[in-house]
Amino acid sequence: MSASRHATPLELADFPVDDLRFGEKLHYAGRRLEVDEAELVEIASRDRRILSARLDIVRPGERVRVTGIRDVVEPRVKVDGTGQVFPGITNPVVPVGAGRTHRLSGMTLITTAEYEGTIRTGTTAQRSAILDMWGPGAELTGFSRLPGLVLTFRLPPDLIEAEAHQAIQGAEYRVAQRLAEATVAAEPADVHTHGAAHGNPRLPKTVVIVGCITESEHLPSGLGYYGLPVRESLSTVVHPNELLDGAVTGSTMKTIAYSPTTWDWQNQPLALSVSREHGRRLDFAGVVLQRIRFESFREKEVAAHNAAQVARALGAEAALVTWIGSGNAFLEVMLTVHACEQKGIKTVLVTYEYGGKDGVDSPLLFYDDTADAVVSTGSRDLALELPPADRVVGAYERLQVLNYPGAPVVSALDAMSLDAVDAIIGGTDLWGGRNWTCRAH
Amino acid sequence: MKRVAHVVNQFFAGIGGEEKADVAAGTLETLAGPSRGLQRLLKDEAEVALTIYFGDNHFHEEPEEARAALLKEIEAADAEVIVLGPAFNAGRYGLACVEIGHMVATELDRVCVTAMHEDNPAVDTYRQYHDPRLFLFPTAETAGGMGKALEDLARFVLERLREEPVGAAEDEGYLSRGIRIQEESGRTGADRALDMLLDKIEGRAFATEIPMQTWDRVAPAAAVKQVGKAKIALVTTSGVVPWGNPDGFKTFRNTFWRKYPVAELKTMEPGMWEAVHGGYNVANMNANPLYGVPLDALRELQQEGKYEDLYPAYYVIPGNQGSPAAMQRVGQEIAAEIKANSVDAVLLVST
Repeated sequence: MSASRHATPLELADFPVDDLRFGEKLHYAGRRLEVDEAELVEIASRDRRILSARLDIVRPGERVRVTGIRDVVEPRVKVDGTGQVFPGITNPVVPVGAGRTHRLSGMTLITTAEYEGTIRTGTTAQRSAILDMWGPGAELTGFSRLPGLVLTFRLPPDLIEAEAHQAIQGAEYRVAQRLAEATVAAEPADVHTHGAAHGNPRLPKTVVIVGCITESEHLPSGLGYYGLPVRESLSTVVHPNELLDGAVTGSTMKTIAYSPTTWDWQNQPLALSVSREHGRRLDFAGVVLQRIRFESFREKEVAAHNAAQVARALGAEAALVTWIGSGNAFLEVMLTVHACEQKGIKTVLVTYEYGGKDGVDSPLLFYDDTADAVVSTGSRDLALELPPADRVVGAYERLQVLNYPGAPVVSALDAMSLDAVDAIIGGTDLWGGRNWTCRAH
Repeated sequence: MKRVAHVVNQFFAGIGGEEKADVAAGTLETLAGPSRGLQRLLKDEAEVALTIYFGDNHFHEEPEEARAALLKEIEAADAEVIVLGPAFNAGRYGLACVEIGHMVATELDRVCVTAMHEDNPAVDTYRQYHDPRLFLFPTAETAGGMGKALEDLARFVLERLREEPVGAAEDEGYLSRGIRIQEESGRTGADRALDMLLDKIEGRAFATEIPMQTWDRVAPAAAVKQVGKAKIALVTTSGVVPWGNPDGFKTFRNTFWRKYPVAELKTMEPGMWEAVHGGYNVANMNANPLYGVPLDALRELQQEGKYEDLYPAYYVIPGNQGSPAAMQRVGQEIAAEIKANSVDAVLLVST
């Protein structure tokens, strides 16, 4: 971080996977990954709440629909430096973010589980997502372009949400780490160094502020740091490299397009963009995680002021401001832009937009004249017709397309009409990882 | 050859000025001057099949007759694209172009394109229609800009006849209709954000992708003068509905409201009601629906004579992720109904 001479960089080594298949044992060579299903099932099942586990492979372009998705992870393992990936969850709380980490890039581990939950509606009701590997649903999400290993669990029916989350997350992270261990002795295709010291103290110090909606009275809260659920909090600073090692995680109980997966946190595109320019065009001063969706306007103003104050304390001259969430949580985001600009911190806001299916509704829910630089990552309100699938993989053979009490249940093979992209994993580009935008017509 | 119909007012049709503004709609036997100009620009790719005209005053004074006649003439023209104007800064003419274009786009599902000066009041009407098949190009204030206006119109017409996809307003040159459409930008949002930030830091020009809007501010109604004699209705966005969600509200983006009777009830029993709402943790509301529909307190106050009468049903919509346009309509519908039922005041319980 910063121009300090004591910066400890992280080398992130890429091991691309073009070909993913089942084999006798875990093996990586020549961009091909072979996995041993029995071994991975055994690793996943080291938790008595996982009643059974199975694996499938899905490939880009196949007419296959994955259902009941709880999370997506990029397999990684640390081969040098303190700690291990997913600290505080599947590994001890030891600082991460320095040394060397291997990643199986270009593939996903997709976790699905059948789970109805104990809460019928509201922000804490469980939601799962789908993924089409072909067709119009696939167009929207980057996950359809990567070969995916689909890990499907069965859980006991009476688990509460907190336990179901813990079981799913633990099992998927154990499997993800094991997969990446296939690369330990292999040669990387590429190595990127993040957070190296540089000698240019004049570069503009830049922060990335991520407003995060949390559930203050519920587990999982939606945001974890070294496994600690963030519920009520003022803004906090994390090192960008900690994201790369899986120290910041989300919820497996609210898997919708505008809620980040583990993969999204591991590959946070704004942090990666700033990190790439660190020491060249700017100085990456840190990632600010800001809890948003306070209940009253006054609280929202405080949260915004506080985030700007933390950015100021880091010496920030500039900030990329973004968020996760929906609805009134956006007020804190806009107020944060305002508070930063008031303090002389120049901002660019990165957000998805609404607009309704015809694109004529208001794109945002709240406006402030200081937000003169906004990047649109596209619409969350696209209506979508999904064609029938040839094959369904994952937790559900039948599912509710819309999630509310009494919503109709259809065969997961059938064509589906969606009135928004919420149900598609990665269907909303939260943080500008993709090329989408919206323009006025 | 592909056919284009051209609609102009009586002046540009060569029939006459203000003294002929009462003329009824019709079709010229030969093309009007601007239509011939348009034809020259379309070359041999398309034919301006005919000039249809209307009287500026007639259109606005006999709207039903004029609209019906124009729709008939335009339908009979069997054209793929309809060009209206250009109307420059002429208010009545401009408004007629927008209204006719919107009518034809809606009724006949044809692409309509018009042109006028950006300050023409009809431009506001055009923007309010958000009509995906109607396009408006900016022109000079006066007919001195005819040549440029016809060039813009002809280019756009030819692109449509070639079935090229319509680009963003900024790229094509038409005025935005306030329709935002998702597209690929060629670069990631993160890369665009970083460049925008560096431009902003270094004082270079940059273009925001979402311009800020100014919203209506609703002034609170005046206080009720005699609350003791008031009839009160309860409206809530909490999503509290009878258990089982009989009307199939979604937990988000609802577009309709319902009312549920409470005339016979003294309170809201837990287990009889549930909150259908995706925007808050509903555990407390389900345990005690009085948070969303405070019927017990209202009954008590009524007993004490603090107000006269409680409307026999409460109105509800789950407010979560409601589109401002849908919510505005829902609010107006509820307001109209309770106003028709002599309600004096509303207790609006939001969540």
